[in-house]
Amino acid sequence: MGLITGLLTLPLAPVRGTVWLAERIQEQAEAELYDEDVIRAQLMEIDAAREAGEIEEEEATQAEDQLLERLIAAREMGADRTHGGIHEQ
Amino acid sequence: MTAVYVYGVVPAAEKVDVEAPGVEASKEGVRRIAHGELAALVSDVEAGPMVAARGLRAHWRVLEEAVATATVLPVRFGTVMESEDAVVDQFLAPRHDRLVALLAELSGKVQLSVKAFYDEERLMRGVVDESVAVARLRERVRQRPKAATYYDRIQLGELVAGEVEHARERDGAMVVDRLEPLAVAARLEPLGTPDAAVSAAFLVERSRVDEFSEAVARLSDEIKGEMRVRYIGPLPPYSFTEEQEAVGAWA
Amino acid sequence: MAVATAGGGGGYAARPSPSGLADVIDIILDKGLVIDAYVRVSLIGIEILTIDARIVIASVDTYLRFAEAVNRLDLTEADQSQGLPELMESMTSGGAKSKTKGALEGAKEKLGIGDDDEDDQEKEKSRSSSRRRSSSSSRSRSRKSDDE
Repeated sequence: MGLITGLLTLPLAPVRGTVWLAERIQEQAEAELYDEDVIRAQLMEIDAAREAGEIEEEEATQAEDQLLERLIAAREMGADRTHGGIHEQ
Repeated sequence: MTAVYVYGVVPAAEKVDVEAPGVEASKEGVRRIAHGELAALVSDVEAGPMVAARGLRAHWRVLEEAVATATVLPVRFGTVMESEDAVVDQFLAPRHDRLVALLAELSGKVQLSVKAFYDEERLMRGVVDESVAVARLRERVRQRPKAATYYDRIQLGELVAGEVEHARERDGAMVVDRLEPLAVAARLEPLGTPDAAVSAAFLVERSRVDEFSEAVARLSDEIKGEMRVRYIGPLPPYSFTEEQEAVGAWA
Repeated sequence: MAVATAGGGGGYAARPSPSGLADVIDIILDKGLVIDAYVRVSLIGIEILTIDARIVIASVDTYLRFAEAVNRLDLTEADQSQGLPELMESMTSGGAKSKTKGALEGAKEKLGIGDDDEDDQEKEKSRSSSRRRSSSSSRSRSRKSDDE
């Protein structure tokens, strides 16, 4: 659903070519994966679930590890992202 | 080939005994390298790449443990030095006096973080109620097919973002005004997520933490319809470790 | 989400909560004394090492996000955030979907990426991206590093 189906129904897609399309999908996917705000929110989710006893420690740690790696990678990529919305206080 | 990982700096006189293993398993665990009135908290590591996520947790555990009883200046995550001598020659010695002064200022104090997050629905409701421009543009957007409203939606979002920003400024000021009187110093920190309202760091005397906590509890209660509060600590004084003249850093 | 509410009343002092990693990740990474030493934090993720794109998210994304949030008011949200098991799954499989519970949705789906073909084309025009080689282990650096 969502991203891929949407793009594939683009009437102009064949004109642009599949390589262009693949790149757009890749970019969007990457952008989302490396969106620091999203990663931070997900980390908070895990903490909350852990505190509430909703998930096992091992699951939580694994998911956290992935997110941390991505967060660090995102910072390294130096992406110019708004921080928590708009301004830094 | 071993190197030395540095966690933070404590006064040489403070007996800090950290049980946490450190970023890598090592014979001696976390130990101190003393120089003058300072002691660096370190542990041995293999020279080479480190697993970021694991290292992060271990790094934090060391500091968390240290701050329970000691005044500690935290060092940036991932700092590795060649040898013990390097820790002294390239860090403790050249910066000795400034770090001693900083530790003196921070002595007996801890950092407490107060963060607040908006209830999205309440926030958006408030924005629509308070801004005619937002209400109008929202109506316009709703009445037209989505495909036709891309730029309208951007403008709408921009307006909403502006209102949210005002709310954040107002709420940030409110939180600081309420709690700063019970603290030695206060700082507003960058927000990390779109639903964040406030992120404030307070430097508080250890002896006044309970009093401060009570004030946070009262504040939480008052704003609980609009925001939820996350209150954590004690933390090493990250937000008050300025690398500048220690005197008057937060006068 | 985590609610460390201080439950006031009756002279009971609520203590600060112990910090979760999410609470302190920013200060751990952003703050602390900087020593001009070799900083070596390299990453184990395989997929990460192959990505060397610098992606600039235009501020329009944030604005669209806010527009969506204000439009969501008064509508029944059929598509509330994923339950935690799904969330875990999508993360551990490295899926592109990322949703978060409650609060302002950051997920791009909410912006109707899938539905808004026009949005994608518009965004493509306004987004700039450039490729750059980045090494995974690095010398000491400040948080916002300029091109070297």
